[in-house]
Order: sequence, then structure tokens, then C-alpha cells
Amino acid sequence: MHEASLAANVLKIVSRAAAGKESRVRQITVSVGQLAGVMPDALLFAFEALKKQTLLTSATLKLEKEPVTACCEDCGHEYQPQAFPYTCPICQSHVFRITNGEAVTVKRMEIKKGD
Amino acid sequence: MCKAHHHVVEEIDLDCVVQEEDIKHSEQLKASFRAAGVRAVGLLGSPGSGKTTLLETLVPRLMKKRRVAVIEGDLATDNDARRIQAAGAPAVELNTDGACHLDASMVEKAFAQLPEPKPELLLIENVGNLVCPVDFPVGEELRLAVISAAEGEDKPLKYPAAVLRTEGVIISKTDLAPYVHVDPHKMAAYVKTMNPRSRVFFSHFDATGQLAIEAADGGSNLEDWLIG
Repeated sequence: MHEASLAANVLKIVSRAAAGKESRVRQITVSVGQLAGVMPDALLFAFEALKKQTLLTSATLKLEKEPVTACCEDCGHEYQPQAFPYTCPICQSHVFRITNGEAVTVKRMEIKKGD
Repeated sequence: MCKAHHHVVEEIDLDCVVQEEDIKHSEQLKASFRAAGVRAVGLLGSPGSGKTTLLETLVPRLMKKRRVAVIEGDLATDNDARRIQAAGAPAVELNTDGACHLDASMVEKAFAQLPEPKPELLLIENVGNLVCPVDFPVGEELRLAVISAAEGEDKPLKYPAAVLRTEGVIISKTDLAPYVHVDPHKMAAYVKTMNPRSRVFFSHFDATGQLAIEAADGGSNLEDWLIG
């Protein structure tokens, strides 16, 4: 249940990037890796609660799922594994390193243009 | 529809990892551990999976080969630190007061509280939780998940991050397996299928009341692997 600290970090990252335009931030898109132990509903709930303490009161949070990506350690091919065992579609190797799907990432934000 | 919309709203790419500060802090901590000759090993697992019991057995054995200290993470009480101290090693208890995981800054502070000389092998027992600690490395060279047979045969499959994002899994309490209708070998096979590079160990209490730990994958024994 560390979604509150993640939501606080999202708000911090966006506030910093918006630098003075915080009140014009609209949609914030955040991707949640499938292997990040994060509950989307809890993250949304925490975001809504915590944004009131910031200047980002007009911002909404949109979550996207980030699939797992594996890099084959034998042939270097990057692939999206389906079921276990993870199998490289090129060389059929089962040895891999996870390259994506572990993190929560602030992908982008929308800022309403000023007049 | 988007044309007008684009005039009003500017889209800005950020691509900022939310846990970046935590990851960076862990990397810094790992580097300072290495520089000081400290090898840190993390233990994570559900409450009651047997993490502290495992440490109570491992600590005296490891102390014959290395200077050992333990950092214990719990929501409340210093029960675990006292158990480790009784087993012979210095231990510091971190109470998270409700937080679901340790983080690198907590571990850094706890490490400073350990008496001199500092350990060569630092064992860090995380808060009982099979989900959140995986997301928060705390400077470890190796992370081990402890999953007891009593938790159910399919737990590795149900908690994939705990298997995919650690270097080893200990399947504990295999002596209970017949009573809870679980086949520990199946659990080990799940782990190996999910993460072929993961080390797998079994642990159980033998007839003399000693905790027996054995490699389930034909590899080196747990102590040697932890020492590195």
C-alpha cells in the first residue's frame, strides 16, 4: 500500500515540469508496469486526495498498463512474453532479463494553453 | 475532432520514472556498501513465511565465515532484532509504523546505528509483505523471497514479481507440505519455469528440531551462495 507515496511523487514530478503553469495542467498519463506491485484504483484514489494540497487541482490522472518486456540473453532479441515459461520467439531460449514492466512512469501531461 | 483540441492543449512528454529517486538511492547505497566491503542481502516474504527463523539458523553459521549483522524491518516491536541478537549477531530494528516496505534511506540510517566494526555480510529482513518490498531495492546485491509451503502451491505464479525480480526463492516449512496438500517440488518447478536463473532452496525442521536448508536446484548451499 505505497500508492500514496507514488501519487505524491507523480504530483511532484508534474509540478516541477509544469513550473508556474500548474493550474493549467489537465490530463496526466502514467503507465503502470505489470510487475510493479501497484494497485491502479489505490493510485487514482491517492492522486485525487493529494492533488488538493497542490496547485494541480484541475489535473486528472489517466493510467495505462505497461506490459512486461524481456530481452533474450542468448540472442539479444527483445520481446513481450506471453505465458510462462518466457520463450524467445527467435531462438527459443528461456534465459532473459526484464527490460520493461517494473516501473511506474509519468509519460506525459497536457497543459491548457494560455490566452 | 482533435484539431481544435490541439490548439487548446499542449502535450508534453515527460517519461519520468516515479520510483527513480528510490532506485537511485538504492544504487548509491549499494555503491557505498561495496566501497566499505559490505555485501548486502535482502529477504522478503509474507508475514509468517519464516524469514526470521531462517535468519536465526543462518546467522550463527554465517558468523563462522564472515562478520554478520542484521537489519530487521517490522511495523512494530523489536521482537525480531532481539531474536537475532540472541542468535549472536548485532541487529537493528526498523519500525515502519505502518509502511509496507523498507526504503534505502531507512536502511542507510539503520546501518549507521550498527556497532563498529561494520559487518562484511549485512542481512536485511524486509517488512512481511510479498508485494511492495519488491519495488523498493535497498542496496542489496542479492534478494531472496521466502515463500512457505503453507501459503499454497501456486504462490510463485500468483506473485510473479517476487520470483522475477529476485535472485532466489526459499520454499520454507516443507515439513508442513503433506498437511496442507502442497507439493514443494511443484513450487520449485514453478519458480524455475518462471525464472530459470533463480536459485531455489527448501527449508524444514528436522527430527532433532534443527532447521535444515537444502538446495532444490542442485546448486551450492545457501550459506556459500549468500557469502558470494
